[in-house]
Amino acid sequence: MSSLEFKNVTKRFKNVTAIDRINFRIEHGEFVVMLGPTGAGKTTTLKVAAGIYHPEEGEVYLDDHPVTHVHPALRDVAFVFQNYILYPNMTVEENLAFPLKSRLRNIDEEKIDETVKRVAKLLHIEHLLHRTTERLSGGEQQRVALGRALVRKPRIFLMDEPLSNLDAKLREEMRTELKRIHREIGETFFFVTHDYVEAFSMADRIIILNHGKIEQIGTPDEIYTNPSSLFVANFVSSPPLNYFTIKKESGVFVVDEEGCESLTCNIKADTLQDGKRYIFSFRPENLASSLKKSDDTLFDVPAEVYVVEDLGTYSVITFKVNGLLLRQKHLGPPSAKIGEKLWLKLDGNFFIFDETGKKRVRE
Amino acid sequence: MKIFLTILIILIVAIYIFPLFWMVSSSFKTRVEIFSMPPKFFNFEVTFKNFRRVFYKIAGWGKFAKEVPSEFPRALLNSSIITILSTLLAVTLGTLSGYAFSRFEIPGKSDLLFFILSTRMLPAMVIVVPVFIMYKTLGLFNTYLGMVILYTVFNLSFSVWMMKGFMDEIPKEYEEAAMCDGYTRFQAFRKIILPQTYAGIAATAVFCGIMAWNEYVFALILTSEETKTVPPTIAGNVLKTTGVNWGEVAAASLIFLAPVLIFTFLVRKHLLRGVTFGTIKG
Repeated sequence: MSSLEFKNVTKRFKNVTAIDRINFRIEHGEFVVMLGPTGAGKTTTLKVAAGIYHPEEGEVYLDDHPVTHVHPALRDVAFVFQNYILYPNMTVEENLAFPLKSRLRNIDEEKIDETVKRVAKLLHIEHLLHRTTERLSGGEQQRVALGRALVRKPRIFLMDEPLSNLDAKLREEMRTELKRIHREIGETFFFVTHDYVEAFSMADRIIILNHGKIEQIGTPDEIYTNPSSLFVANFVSSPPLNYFTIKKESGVFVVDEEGCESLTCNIKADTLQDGKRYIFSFRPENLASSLKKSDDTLFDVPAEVYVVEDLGTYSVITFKVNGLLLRQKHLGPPSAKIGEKLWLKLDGNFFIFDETGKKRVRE
Repeated sequence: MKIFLTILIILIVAIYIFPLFWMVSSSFKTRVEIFSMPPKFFNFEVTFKNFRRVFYKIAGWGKFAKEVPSEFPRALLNSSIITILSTLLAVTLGTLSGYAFSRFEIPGKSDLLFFILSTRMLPAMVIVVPVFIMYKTLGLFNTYLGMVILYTVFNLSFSVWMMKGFMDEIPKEYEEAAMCDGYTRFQAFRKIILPQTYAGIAATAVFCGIMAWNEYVFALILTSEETKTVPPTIAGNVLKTTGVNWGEVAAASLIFLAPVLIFTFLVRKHLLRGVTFGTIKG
């Protein structure tokens, strides 16, 4: 069993709080991805888990043993860095053997050799073993970095955006590869990324981090269908989420944005309070348009097609309603022309948040 | 344009090489030919007498005159011992403290670094007398230990600053990776960081070595017979009862210069990488 748990962990650098009272638990064999924008504190979380940083407050548990102040070498965790950090004074083979040669492990040469060869085969880098590290391509370096983690059986694999320096095609390949390796060895993976597609394609569970605080923890499906805040909803949306402020005035929802005077919005949400402001949002894939006005059209005026983007497998149409820009995403080539007037309606989920966007309001 | 540049380079090289050339040629000339007018550049008679005089001086006059070993070999040995030991110490301490300054939160770090640099700000002439009095009191006058300590301290500021610069260039993730791989910080430093700074260490060592090798003022005041280094020895032989013997000075200087030239030539690849570290990165 190897689980990782953070209890109320806070890490500060001088006056900056990098992570703020974080709580989560990763179970044995899980693939958990921490997702968040740059500077959210993802790398700090990972380094606290590895023991490279010691938190000011809170406790870290590995296999339910407190390890908050234990040296990284004694934690038996493997860390894959964003920039790979291959040792430049060693060949690929020496890099792979390095973790095994630690005096902590006391493994004999033959066994080391055997393990290095086995891992090199797993990652398809047998032919690179005698090369120096600076003569490797990005993808090869990434594999070696991964190999250095895989040569031993650590309690947990910590990965800090290991795919972000690869080109798009290789990145997709490596995603599948990582998932395969995870399935094969069945160990615990804690992976950090800012790319939500990466998170969704690999994770059993996702932890969303923003400004050092956890916004939501859940399965990819939960995060997508049930975001707990505007930030989460927007972060896992591409193209960006459609959202605007609305105000309930004697039972009618009025759009409360600059340049949108007296635009009413047809939403069925009876529990919302009169006279209060809310943020109304929906995903681009949940917006539909038609030539005719019907009972369920979103606005009482038609929308003008403003921008049309054809992205091959799908297209994005940007509509303009008064001063409001709303995006629609649908499969196939674009179905409308610029300047056309269409009626918008919702086809599926929408989310309503409080005025600050921090809390979901159940409608 | 290219021809112009070539000519310019040849001219600049000629200006820098000429003193060296003059020294080399003088060391092989007789006393008369050194002063001959017009100066003789190549068409002189080669003599090795000057080199012999560097190692064997003439004692006595007239028919009692005979050759006795000079103090020069001893001075060369002294210079070597003091230079090698002080350079080793300065570079070792500089590497370790450079790493510490680069990696750790040290209270008053910038003040400390400035303080270390400030030891280099006073000219030797200003502090040589107080140092002389201290050395006399402590029994360090005319000892290897005294000279090694002095040159180590003198080189330390340079060495710490240089090595801190090199360490700053190496991402701290290297130690972090090695520690996660099962090593202590010191093992990580020795196995991963140190090999990456060899170029920097070579560059620092060359500069520290040259400084200690060439130092004159402290050596003149703080050493006597037993520990006297080469620079005061050569200077001491300039003026003799028979006038300045430039041929002998040139020969001694050439022998003195040779180790530095050879050493610099051997590590020139590292040196260039070390000096340009961080400025041009592939």
